[in-house]
Amino acid sequence: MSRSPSARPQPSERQVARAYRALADEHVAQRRDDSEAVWQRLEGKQRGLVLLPGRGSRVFGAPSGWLAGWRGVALGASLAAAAAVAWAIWPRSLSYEVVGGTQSGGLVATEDTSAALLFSEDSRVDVAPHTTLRVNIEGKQRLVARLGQGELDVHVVHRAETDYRFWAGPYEVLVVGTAFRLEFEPKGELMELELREGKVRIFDAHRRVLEMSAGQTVKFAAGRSELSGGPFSEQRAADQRAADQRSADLRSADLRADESGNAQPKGLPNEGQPSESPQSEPRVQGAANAPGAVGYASLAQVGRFSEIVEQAQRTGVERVLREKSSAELQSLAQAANYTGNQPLATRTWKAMQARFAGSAAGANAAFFLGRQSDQAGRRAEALGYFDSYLAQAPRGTYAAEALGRKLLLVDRARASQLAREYLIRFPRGAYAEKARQLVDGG
Amino acid sequence: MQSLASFRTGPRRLKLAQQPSPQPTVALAEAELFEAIQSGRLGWQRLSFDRYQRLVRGLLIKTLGPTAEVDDLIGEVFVGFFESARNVRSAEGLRSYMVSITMNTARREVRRQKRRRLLFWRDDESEPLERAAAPDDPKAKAALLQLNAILASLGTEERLAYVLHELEGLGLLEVAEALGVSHSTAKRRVKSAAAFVQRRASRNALLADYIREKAGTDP
Repeated sequence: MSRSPSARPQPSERQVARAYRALADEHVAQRRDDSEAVWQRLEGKQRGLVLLPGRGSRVFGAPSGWLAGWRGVALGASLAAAAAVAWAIWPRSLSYEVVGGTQSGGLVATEDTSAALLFSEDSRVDVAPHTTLRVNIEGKQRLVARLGQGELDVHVVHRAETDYRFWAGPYEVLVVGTAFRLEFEPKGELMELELREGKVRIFDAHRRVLEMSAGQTVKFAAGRSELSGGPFSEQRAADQRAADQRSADLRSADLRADESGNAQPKGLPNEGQPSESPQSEPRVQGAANAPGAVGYASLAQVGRFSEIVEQAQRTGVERVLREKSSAELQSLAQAANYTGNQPLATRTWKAMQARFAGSAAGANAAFFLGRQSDQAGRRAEALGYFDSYLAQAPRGTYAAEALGRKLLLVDRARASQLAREYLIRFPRGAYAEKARQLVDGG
Repeated sequence: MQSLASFRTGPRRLKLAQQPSPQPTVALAEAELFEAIQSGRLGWQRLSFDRYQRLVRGLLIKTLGPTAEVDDLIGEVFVGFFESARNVRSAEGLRSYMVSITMNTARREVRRQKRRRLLFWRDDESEPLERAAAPDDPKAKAALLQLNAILASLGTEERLAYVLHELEGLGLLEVAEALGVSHSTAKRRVKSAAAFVQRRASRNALLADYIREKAGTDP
């Protein structure tokens, strides 16, 4: 993993072109079976039939976009001129796209395979298997990412306006423009950062600051640090005070967000108090003294899943399941699942099913119950839950996954029928290859 | 070297250099297809589709990236081809004709996307191919998307020239004729595009690492 920037040669033009060609060819090869769906739509067009709705669902040969023909040209030209001016002066928002893994809101999770986050400014974060990461874009340019557990490989392209912050437990990494690997294990609060390029600042739980340079590695374990790769400079006291002030401001912002009932507070999450012991956990404001006062969603946002479960148990699970909102219960179920408390996860999802029947939350609970049953090998039960989900939310977020999982659970005759339905609805879905095998085999 | 005759419909009047067919079976298949098109034999459209859909998909993905629109655009390309294929005067011209239709479709799409960005102040509505879990290696997919984003910041004509020469392996003369420009213009565009793409790819450490791993140790 240790790569020295000075030893890294740049790829040649030929290497870039060769890699691009190989990647595109692999991509095409993986989708060789998509051609049949395209042909069927083409045939429909040739016969003058109504085409099957597909992704994008633009009808072949139809005018592309609403500005078809010449009628819109005059209007388009004036609008374009105005837009061009605005485009030039309007600040762009930072955005990102997740490739691989699963994404729910800002939570990105990987299981056995990796994922990647591609940012609109060329920055990129590779997410290793078995990693959970919470990603927030604040304002237009600030990224706040909280590594719940696992490992990231980060490359941030330096730009004046960009502000990237990575949290791993109580540690905050401020990034300017750099490449590094960040690893976090929540149980022992073990954090390791290997800096390959550029500079970063790390704030620990006491808001002490370490400045790191390329080639250095730092490991933290329960408040103790181990440094290697060269001398580290401590931040000046003035900077430290400024950092503390900034933290206080952000905590206030968090608190305001929580008080206003916002389930996803915008500010930086909980930071440690300067007076606390080195082993102390960073705290969400008020969490220790008033169990249940802080939303589960806020805790989930910062990856503190075990704390959610503990809070629920302290408050009383029965009461929590009766009184909390669907978003809070979703966070509790998720936390229970992540911390291995499957009975609590099941109980929570069942409570959600009962309390929020007819809503998206209730339907989603059915999906998660189905997934859990599937993983436990209870096929009939899983099928029942997936059927229930698909009946309630045929176009829901998890419809492709539910239908795909059903393919693997039903008998062959039924699977072939389901596979056709799957291919029509999700020709490029994760289970498309399996569906094609079933159709061909049938 | 043969040239295509005029087209009643289709992209533009082109005189495309013909690539010598690398294998006799390829030439044979194209001769068979040409005969089927000219005689209007039942199923010639399907034959054309089977023969060229991979080429068309590859060109579109290399030019536009793995977007959800690609399947629709493949359809557009073949609709255009089916309307005008009978105007191609030789079997050797079929592939070049298909390439030129595809690149014209890609050019239109690039312009449409730019128009939309200008009008709506946001990225085009095209979705990346999969947002849900897919069988691809995420690192490969990420690299492909990033390389495509770099290509997207090139001018349209430079992008097309780069795709045809660097990614599809066409000679500069063929690129020039396919894009309707002089040889020196094609050469200049390819050179400038290649340098730009290399520079941008080198700025991203993860991408650069991936490219070097992917391309091996070739200098």
